[in-house]
Amino acid sequence: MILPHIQIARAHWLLGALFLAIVLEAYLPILRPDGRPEESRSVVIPWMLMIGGVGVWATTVFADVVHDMLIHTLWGDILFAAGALVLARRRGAYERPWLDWVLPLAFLGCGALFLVHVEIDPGGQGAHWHLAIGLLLLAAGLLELARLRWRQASAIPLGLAPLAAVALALIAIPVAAAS
Amino acid sequence: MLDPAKRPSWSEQSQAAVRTPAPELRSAEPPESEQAVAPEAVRGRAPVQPRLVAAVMLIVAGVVWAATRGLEFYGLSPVKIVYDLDQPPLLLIAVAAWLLYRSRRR
Amino acid sequence: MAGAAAIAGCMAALLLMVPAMAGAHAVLETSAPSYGAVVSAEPGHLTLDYNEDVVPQLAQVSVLTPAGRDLAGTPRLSGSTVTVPLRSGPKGSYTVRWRMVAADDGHVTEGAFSFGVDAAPVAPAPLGGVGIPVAPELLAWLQFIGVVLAGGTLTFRALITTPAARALGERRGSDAPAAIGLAAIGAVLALHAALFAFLVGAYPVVGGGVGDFVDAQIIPIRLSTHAGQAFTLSSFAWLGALALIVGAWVHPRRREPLLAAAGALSLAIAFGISWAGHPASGGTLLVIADYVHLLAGALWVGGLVALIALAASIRSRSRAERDALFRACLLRFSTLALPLVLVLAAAGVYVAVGELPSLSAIVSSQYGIVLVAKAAAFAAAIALAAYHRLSVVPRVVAGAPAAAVRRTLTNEVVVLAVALALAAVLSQTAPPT
Repeated sequence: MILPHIQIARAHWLLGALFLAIVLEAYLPILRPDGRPEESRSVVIPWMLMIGGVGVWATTVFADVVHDMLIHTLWGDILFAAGALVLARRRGAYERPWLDWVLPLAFLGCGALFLVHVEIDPGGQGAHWHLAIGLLLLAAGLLELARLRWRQASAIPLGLAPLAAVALALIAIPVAAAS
Repeated sequence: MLDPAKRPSWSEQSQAAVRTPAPELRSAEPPESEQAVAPEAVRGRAPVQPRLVAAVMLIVAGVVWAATRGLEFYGLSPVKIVYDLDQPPLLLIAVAAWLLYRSRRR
Repeated sequence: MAGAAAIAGCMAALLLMVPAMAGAHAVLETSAPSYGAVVSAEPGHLTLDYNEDVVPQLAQVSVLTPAGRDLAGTPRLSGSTVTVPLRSGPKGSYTVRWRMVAADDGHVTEGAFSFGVDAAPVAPAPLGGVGIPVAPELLAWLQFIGVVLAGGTLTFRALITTPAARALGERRGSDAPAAIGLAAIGAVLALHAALFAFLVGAYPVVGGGVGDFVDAQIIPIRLSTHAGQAFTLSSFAWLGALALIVGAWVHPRRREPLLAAAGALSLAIAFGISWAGHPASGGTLLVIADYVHLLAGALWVGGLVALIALAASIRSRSRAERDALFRACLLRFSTLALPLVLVLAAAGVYVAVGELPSLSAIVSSQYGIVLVAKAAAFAAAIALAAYHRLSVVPRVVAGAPAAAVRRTLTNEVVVLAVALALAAVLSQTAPPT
């Protein structure tokens, strides 16, 4: 499916804005008067992840080239599984300590897949942007893993910075391309 | 997950918002005795909300971006930006509004 | 929540809009005749337009008649346009196979499509001798297993376990975690098996090396073949079933209706397997008979699996509670088992008669031999089922412990798994003509 550039630009803008909204809601907690972050049982994030996974699987089905199908399959699996596990935890249906690692590993997986995509098609459209997004997602995953590993308590997780950068990149890509 | 011995972690009760911190934050928090309290709280003032700061920054960014785009009408903009209804400045302000909405006290 | 739902809808729509990447590879943009087209007279040449220049010396195009004769002459290139002169040929469906190398980075792309000359085009035919060994049969078996685990076990729960538990005064099924786990595994298995089964089936159509197939253009094959169309619909349906299963996991109060819906949807998806298989060429009745055969098998095997999972789930209860619930479920299943087996056998015989041109084909064709092997496995399973019905069930009714039954049920499942594997081999074996 080949779309006109303005449609591609619109899709990236809106996708970036949605991702930014999700990232900021997920990683900017509300602080109580005593300075401690308030609990969040929001199910918006996991539902967004699962719907995102379904959307990526849709790209798998409608993809034109076989390697696109295979990479988007993995992407979709990571997003859907991460969303289902986080949803189950937030709804109180399933609780395990290792669930802390789900989102960071999901970021790492998605970031790695972006790099694989660039490796398969290095001359493709927007390859350098995909490389940047892949590296940022890897950075977000590593920072979140580090936060979990060393039990750093901070109101604002470091992983927010690269994730917000991914969202802003999605918004900026077509603007830069059109400039 | 299929082992009945692990039943205590399988909840038959759906849980709404609870008083304890969310699991991701709970495991990341040090024990209560070591936890530092924000200086504002010690002085009795509510801490500055990170979401409020982010929302304000997004609104400012959106306004500056739109203004920069608008300067082109006067032939002053150094950067050519594709202009369309769903332009990025409006989206940034929409994200800020969503953040403020989700931050309201219930 | 309404705001979140609106955002969810927008995000899903947007993700559908993001196009697949097709950058430096030479992508076929248009062709004349185009794929699926019907032309009234044989075209004197075929034109292929790519999105970038291709290497002239490495361009390969074949245009095959229904009889397999190649009408393509030497391709002539002008930048990104390839023109292939065509020799005169008969009416019918023509298969075009192309393979190009992009001039800028040397990436290979390939594809296949069909058009008709005064006739409706049929899906591009696979190349003889090209394929990945074992993979089609294995992937078909995994799809069957997926339907059994998701459709069979959940439907068994809805029809038997849940009513039996309610009759004994239980509000919620204690085997829910096991059922949800099995159904999720089945749905994930079937979803991925369907994808790879489509790709493995498309590979012989495109031809070339397996490495080059990674860059093959797949849309014409997905749109023009039953396998591709079934894959398109079943993928979304399996994702829907997974969403229902996840919903049942996180919403205990709505668990039973959500699981029942997931089971029904999983069984409905199985129609795609029949529609994409050999019976499709034999008419609607044959497809329906094949689907009924598949449904009956899924319910039989799924019911046995669900019984075994139930027995494992209630181990921690008191013996009296365990035996009461298991006995109730076993008796209900035994009542349904005989009609299921009869329907399975009748539908299977109907499909076999429809596929075999003569009785001698049973022993003279590969299809017939595999059919005999499958029937033998089926007969062994029926013998075990008869032993259950005539010997084990009366003992359980008389008070024998449920644990004794689990072993024989497991044996029956193993035999049926072998029968399913032979069914998978049969589904990938061409019926004799």
